[in-house]
Amino acid sequence: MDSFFSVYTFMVSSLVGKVCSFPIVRSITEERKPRKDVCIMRKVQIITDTCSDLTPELMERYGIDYARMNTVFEGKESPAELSWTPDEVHQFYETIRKGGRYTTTQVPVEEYDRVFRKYLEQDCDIVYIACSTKQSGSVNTAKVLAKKLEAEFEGAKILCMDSNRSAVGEGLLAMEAAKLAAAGKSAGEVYASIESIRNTALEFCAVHTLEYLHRAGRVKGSAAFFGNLFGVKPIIIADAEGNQAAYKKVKGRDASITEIVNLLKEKIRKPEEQTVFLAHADCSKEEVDALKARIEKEIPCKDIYVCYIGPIIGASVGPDAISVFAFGEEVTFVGGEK
Amino acid sequence: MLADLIQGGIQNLDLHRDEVNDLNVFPIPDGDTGNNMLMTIQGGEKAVPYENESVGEFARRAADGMLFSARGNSGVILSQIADGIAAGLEGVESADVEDTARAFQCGVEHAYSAVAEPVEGTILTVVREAAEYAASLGCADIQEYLKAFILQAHESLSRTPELLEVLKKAGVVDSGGAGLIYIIEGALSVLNGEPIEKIERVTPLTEHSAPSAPGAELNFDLFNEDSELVYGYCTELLLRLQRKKTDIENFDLAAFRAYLQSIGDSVVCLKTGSVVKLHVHTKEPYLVLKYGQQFGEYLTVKIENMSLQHNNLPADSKLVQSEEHKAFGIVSVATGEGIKQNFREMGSDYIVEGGQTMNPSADDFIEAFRRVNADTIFVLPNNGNVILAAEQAAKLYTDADVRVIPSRTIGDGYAVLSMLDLDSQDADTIEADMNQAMEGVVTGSVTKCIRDAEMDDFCLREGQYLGIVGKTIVSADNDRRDTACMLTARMDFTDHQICIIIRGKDSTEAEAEEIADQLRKEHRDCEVYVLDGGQDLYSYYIILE
Repeated sequence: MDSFFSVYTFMVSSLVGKVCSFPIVRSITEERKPRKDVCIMRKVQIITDTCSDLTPELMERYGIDYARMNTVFEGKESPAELSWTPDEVHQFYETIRKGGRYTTTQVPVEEYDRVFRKYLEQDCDIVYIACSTKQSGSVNTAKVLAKKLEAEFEGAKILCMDSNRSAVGEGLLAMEAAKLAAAGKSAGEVYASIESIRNTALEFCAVHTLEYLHRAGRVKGSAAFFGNLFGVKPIIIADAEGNQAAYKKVKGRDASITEIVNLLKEKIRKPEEQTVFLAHADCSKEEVDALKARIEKEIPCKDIYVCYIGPIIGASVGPDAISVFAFGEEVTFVGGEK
Repeated sequence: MLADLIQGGIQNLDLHRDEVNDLNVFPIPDGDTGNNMLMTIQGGEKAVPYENESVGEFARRAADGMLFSARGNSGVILSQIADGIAAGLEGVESADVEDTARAFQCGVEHAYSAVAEPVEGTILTVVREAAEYAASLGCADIQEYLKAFILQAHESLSRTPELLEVLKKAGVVDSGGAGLIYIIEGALSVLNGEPIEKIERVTPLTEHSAPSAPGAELNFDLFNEDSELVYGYCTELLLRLQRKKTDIENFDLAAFRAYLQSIGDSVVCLKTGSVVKLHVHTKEPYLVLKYGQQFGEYLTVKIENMSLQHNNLPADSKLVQSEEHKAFGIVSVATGEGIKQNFREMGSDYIVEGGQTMNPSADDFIEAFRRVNADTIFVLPNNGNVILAAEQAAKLYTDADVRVIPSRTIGDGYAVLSMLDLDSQDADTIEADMNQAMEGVVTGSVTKCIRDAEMDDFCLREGQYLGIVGKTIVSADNDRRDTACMLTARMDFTDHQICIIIRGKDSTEAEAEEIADQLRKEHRDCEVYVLDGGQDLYSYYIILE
């Protein structure tokens, strides 16, 4: 990941150098006056990335856009879209089930440039809610580019936040940010509010095996979680430091699903004001429906939203992972060796 | 004197060892009671009497030896009887019949209190009824007491099948009780000055005292230029008595044994016809050779430096590297390379080799505890016949808080280790979690029938495969795979989501996968895994979690 990062940093400098020399001069001279007024009431655009697992429907509802990471399969790189069809979802996970291996890349700098520029040109400020740096180094690229773009679009603010979360946990924060932006908060205010609640976005995930996470180097856990633990279903949570952390061992699939329901029930706060999110990696309809019914029965939440675990998160948690998300008690657990 | 009685007991038990081993409820390779009791009592034999030592003091040392060498359920109970006898003889200079009766009574009480749930129809019943009866007679001397004891013990033994259904079904008497009778009979023979006559053949010495095959796995580096002779030589000789040198019929074996005991320990000395088989651990083996040659000539001579047999010996600090001190340690009993490796990977710090046919002794456990070097040690016996010895060792070992998790099968052990989580850093929590992890685990096994038998509605032939769940035979067939499949058909998969097939040495990967595929088809909700366990005797363990 380090090497990726340095490569991208290099690319950012060269790219920005090329593109920006003329427009900067122009924007300063031509737009100085009107921009000052716009500045006070600048719109705030919320941007996230593929890791947030937000459906197109949710993004449209909240006016969120996202930067694409890439998946790599058999040497071929393609943008990781969240607008995939159930068939595409099934194909993707079925490939992994049959032993195919997807790897992932960070958000390329060109992609950030594309999506940031789109909103900067509409005179928006940007708050980018990024996947935890423990999972992806993308936000570092974004920060470097943001500085260059802020110089280009004078007066524009691009605030990039390590959300300390990934998957729908990151998505929850992006949606909260979008609500604040819609309520007229400034980019700085949105950033400060969201930063303070990062670790209250809860994730409880039941995986079939730690193998995929382990192979992808994306899980922290004590030695007790690794090895030939047939039938052991570890519960993964987003920990206080932004890791995907092995939290607890549970025997058997049913017990692990019960466990995530119990954990959510215990840790959720103000459920009546919340939508609980249920994301899955191509699980059977029966299993998803059963979990949904259990949550409905046991947790007095406003409603339940079911979606897929997207391609980036999916490539590391593996097929048949199923997870639940909501806001609740701040996480203090830190995974790893004791 | 007591040392001679123990010797007599050992010899007589050794002679009838196979007979006791054969009093096996199941026609499967099993924890051999005869071997276990013999190895246990041999721990007492290592205590050599000192000059002018009181019987009380000697009994204590002999009993302590047995406590440490105890293995198998009957062995542990035997060691507890000895422990009680020693307690009863405390402060006694030289025992008379009343002391003896009191000591046995004490032995009975210790034995009963050592077992969490005493079962009647076992060695416990035999020793209790015999001791009560013999004490009630008011015998004039110890000989008379032991005679009465033996008489009643036989009577009790014959009734054990009525008390214990499994014995009745198998058509045998209790093996532990039988072993006890042979020991007491041997002791009485010595007391009467009679030779232990029933010698029909030269019985092989026990595995643990016999050195390994010549050159096999001996590491000569264990005794180098600077080594000190600590253990001496394991000396094993076959001596042919010669007419011109001695009166073969009236050869004084007791004197021979006494001489060996004066120059070494772990003495075994048996006579069959004109052949004397002797075994002694001594630092001066030439003395043995020289002494024996007065009476005849040697048929075979085997002398081995015991520093090279380190696996069978108490630890020398130089040989054993203890692990770094830690808060929690796990000791598991297992056999089979695959199982052992898996258990290690899942968090066992030390594996005590053993299982169904090789019950580890209390001493083996203590050695493991020492090596693990932790504040709290959890022990997984993984076999019903090993739990008592583990518990005995836990009591004897004072340098750590040792907690025995009563895992009765490899499946129990697997379940506990796979769910192992020390993160709470709280011994009580960990222990409770471990016990919980075993709940509901069912282990079936496929093994070979070792004798013809009729059992659980099956007419069994030697060499057939048997499928067993708990203590019940549920399938039997000449085909290994069919036996395994019939076994799984009889196991209730309801409420189980995980099935682990641990295949043994005699099965193949392909066959195990076939069985697994079959199960995957039949039980779609169940995840089925195959593990290469590499265990002997058991073609398959089938675990439902």
